[in-house]
Amino acid sequence: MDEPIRRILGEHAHLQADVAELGDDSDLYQAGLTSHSSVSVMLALEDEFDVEFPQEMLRKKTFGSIHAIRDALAQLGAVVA
Amino acid sequence: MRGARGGRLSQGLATRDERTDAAAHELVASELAAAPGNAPVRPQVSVAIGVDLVEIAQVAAALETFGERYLRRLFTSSEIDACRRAGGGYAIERLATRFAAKEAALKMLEPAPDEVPEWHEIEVRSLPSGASEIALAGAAARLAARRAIRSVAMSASHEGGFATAVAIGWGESSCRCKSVGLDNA
Repeated sequence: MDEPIRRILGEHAHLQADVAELGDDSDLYQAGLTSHSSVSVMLALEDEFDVEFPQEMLRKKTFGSIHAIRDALAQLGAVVA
Repeated sequence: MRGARGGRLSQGLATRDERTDAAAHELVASELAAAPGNAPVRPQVSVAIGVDLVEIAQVAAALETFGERYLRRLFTSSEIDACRRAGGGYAIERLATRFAAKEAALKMLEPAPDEVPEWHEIEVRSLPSGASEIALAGAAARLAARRAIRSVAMSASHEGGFATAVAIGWGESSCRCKSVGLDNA
């Protein structure tokens, strides 16, 4: 379920596009995600899923799409139903 | 524009520059060793530039939502201290210009996806004159050395809800080139 990820993107990503209309592989940077807003998204994801993104995962592609975020969270052991 | 900061040439990248310089020298030495033995040595100038723009309201919102965790994740203790207001709280525009400067320096360094420096390895230092300089460490310093960047200058400003910064890096390495064209002029 991507609902928490989409909610966090809606609250913190400051996208120009409607989050509900984004596809799983839509490019979030094309949709308006900036380097600073990706930091807010990362911190919100950490709070929501009780994980911490290590330095090696703080790359542009980690937050490049909903699919990529879900994969990163799974890699960190977060439970994403 | 309010809050303008004049650019300042960092004198070799401050205390961490020695590591940067040493790495750059090693790089040049390896290049020379690989070059044809009788080729002339010529200076080769490297110049790189990066710029970034940040919406100050987004910085304020992130600080309000995530507090100290936001600050500690992005900024060094010195940077945080430089942004504290005397009466309490933080000068949001200063935080925003520092973030923009870090991002500008990152763009200047052009890291590969698997070698992105930590935020703390690009530090914006406030100088008594009111100007700022960028000091690089760790992976950021290694990237600079690889690109033969020996000095970095920055300038930042804020106005109308936005903060912006520019970082310019340059340096000189040597290369051996085959004699062509102007050598015979």
